[in-house]
Amino acid sequence: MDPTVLHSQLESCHGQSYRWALHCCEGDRTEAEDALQTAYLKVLDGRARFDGRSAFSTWLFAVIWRTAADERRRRIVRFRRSVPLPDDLPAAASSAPGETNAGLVRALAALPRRQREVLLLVFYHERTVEEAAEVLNIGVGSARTHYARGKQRLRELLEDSEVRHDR
Amino acid sequence: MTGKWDDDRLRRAFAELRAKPEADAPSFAAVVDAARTADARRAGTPSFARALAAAVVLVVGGGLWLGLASKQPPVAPLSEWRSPTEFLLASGNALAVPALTIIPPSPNNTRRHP
Repeated sequence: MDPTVLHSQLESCHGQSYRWALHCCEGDRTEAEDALQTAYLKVLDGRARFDGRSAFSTWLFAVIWRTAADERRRRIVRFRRSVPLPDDLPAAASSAPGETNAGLVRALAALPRRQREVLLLVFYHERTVEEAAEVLNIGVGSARTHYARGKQRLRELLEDSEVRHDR
Repeated sequence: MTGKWDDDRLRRAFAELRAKPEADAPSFAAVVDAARTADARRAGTPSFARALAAAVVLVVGGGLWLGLASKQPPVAPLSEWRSPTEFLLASGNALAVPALTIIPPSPNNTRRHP
């Protein structure tokens, strides 16, 4: 792909890429920016090549996800810090106004990582389950299972929290 | 609001989350510039891990070399060298010659051979 076109494609996806990087890095802005920088470099230097088999943004999401996962593994190996399960999702989401949003963010944070990633890709980033499977490098069947189980669990958590809130 | 969380309600809730403006995202140019700067810095300076690995290799290699050099046995000059099986050559004479009994001629023995 022509470097100028590549650059403009990256720029047009930047907002959603940043949000996806935040989701991949459990809401840590510094880590998200690091992952995004590395992912952009991979794309601009040709270490990651778009083959046109999917939408550009879906492919870019996969590059960001892999980069964030690599950096997370590297941090674990270095013992620099543990990777805690998130208390909340990205600050961008958790600071959103409204009780519903806060409840949704809490419920999402309580889901297993893979289920949360699939649901975020489908509902938040508006991908299909097939695209989510491609981003996360898993089979479509596996993605469907994570989607169904995650959605079921999310509903239960949201309804429970509403019942508690109403008492 | 209470009730069932069907797909439509979930989608609406996620849409509310998504609706927050992305003002807190760093600009694309800033991210690319930072990436290029970090890459140039990484390429220009050896990482701490690489420098540490090189130092460890030097210390271990030097230590091994010194240790091996000090344990070399002293080498005798060539003129003093003896074959390890030399005793085999010497034992033939040593055993055979002292065993010979020399009988001196008797003075009473006057018999003459014809």
